Amino acid sequence: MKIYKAIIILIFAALIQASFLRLINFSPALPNLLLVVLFLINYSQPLANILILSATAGILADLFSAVNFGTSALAMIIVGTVIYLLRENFLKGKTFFGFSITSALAFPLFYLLLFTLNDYFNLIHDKFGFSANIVGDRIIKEIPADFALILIAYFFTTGYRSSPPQSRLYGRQAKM
Amino acid sequence: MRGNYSHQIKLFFLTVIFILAVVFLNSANYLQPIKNIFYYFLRYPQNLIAEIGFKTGRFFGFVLEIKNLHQDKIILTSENNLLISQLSALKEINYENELLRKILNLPLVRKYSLVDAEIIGRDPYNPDFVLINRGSESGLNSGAGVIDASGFLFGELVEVNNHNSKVRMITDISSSVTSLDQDSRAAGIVRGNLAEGLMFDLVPQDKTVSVNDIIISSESESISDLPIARVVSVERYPEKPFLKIKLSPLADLKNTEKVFVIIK
Repeated sequence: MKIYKAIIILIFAALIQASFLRLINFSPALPNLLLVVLFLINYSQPLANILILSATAGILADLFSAVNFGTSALAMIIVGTVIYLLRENFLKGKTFFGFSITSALAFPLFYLLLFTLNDYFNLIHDKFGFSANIVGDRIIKEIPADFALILIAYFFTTGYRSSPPQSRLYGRQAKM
Repeated sequence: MRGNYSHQIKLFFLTVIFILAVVFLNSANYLQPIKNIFYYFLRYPQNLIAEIGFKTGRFFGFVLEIKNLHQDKIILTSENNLLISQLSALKEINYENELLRKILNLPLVRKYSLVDAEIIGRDPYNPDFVLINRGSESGLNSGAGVIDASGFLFGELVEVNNHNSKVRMITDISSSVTSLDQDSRAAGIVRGNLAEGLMFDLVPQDKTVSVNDIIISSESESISDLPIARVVSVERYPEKPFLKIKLSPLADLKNTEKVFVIIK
């Protein structure tokens, strides 16, 4: 996917997240659409794109949030890089299994980093407090929703791939 | 391979340094013009999406509330009858009050100027912060009180941009409002609490606070005499210096679409 297309998608995801999903208010746990879209796009990108997209998504999230400006961006960049390293070193092939593992790790890691960094910036800036506890409570409810949505989205965008990439390669070679 | 790794490490650290610069430039308010440009261009799609969000929410809310409609009607009818009788008594008291103030040469009750605003977003991480579509160009300032259409205290402005502002609701754990029990005049602080919702804190054990009492903001706040919450339960623990008072906010914090910002 071209990077400008990904940025446009992220802008819409951020707007829908802040001004639609949070306002419809009929479910106690709704997924964080921006995070889901970002991780989904990032999973097939090189590191340079991951860094640009994570910074963009983080700044967009911070525009509509009470966290210290830049906190989400920093958290998303670190998570994006960790996921990239995992993918390149341990989970090459982008299988559904690998994607599930990295997604299961990405959401809790992101929220953990967000609260830690935000509390740290609050200490430095001595600004109005951001209630990490209440967020923590909400996140416990939301992480499963995030995880479920990203797996469904992955399934619909790429299809279920259980076999490792080598076997597909052999299959293609066999056809040739 | 090694060169590739060092390039990636450089990229990562450059991005982190860029974001850290953003964090510190923002804390020094240098980024405000850039943020305002973003908000300016995003406000039209955001208003549209928020309107669709509220309509969708209203529809689903209506579907989910159908089973409670009959019960609600009975409660509201009885409350309405009670309020009509109280209103009639209050009109007489108000008339007497105005008359006495004129005789004693006291100023009449203070009036506030209000700016109406629509909620156009909610914090993605913490639902106790909302975004409204009015900012400094409408004369808003940080720290101003925010009320709902019924005049109940909703929250306060914590960040004001050109075209929008962020509101911290009274239920957030970082919010605290100096308040009074309207009946017993017991003073305390209304604050958000993670486990209990909203609490009336720092009320000594010897004070009387009853269930269903109304808590109002007190004179020491810049916004005074605004109804905030109703007392839900009062617990006394002999070993503790203060009462444990749980409150229920009077403002509908989840479904409110329009709020008013108080300008002095």
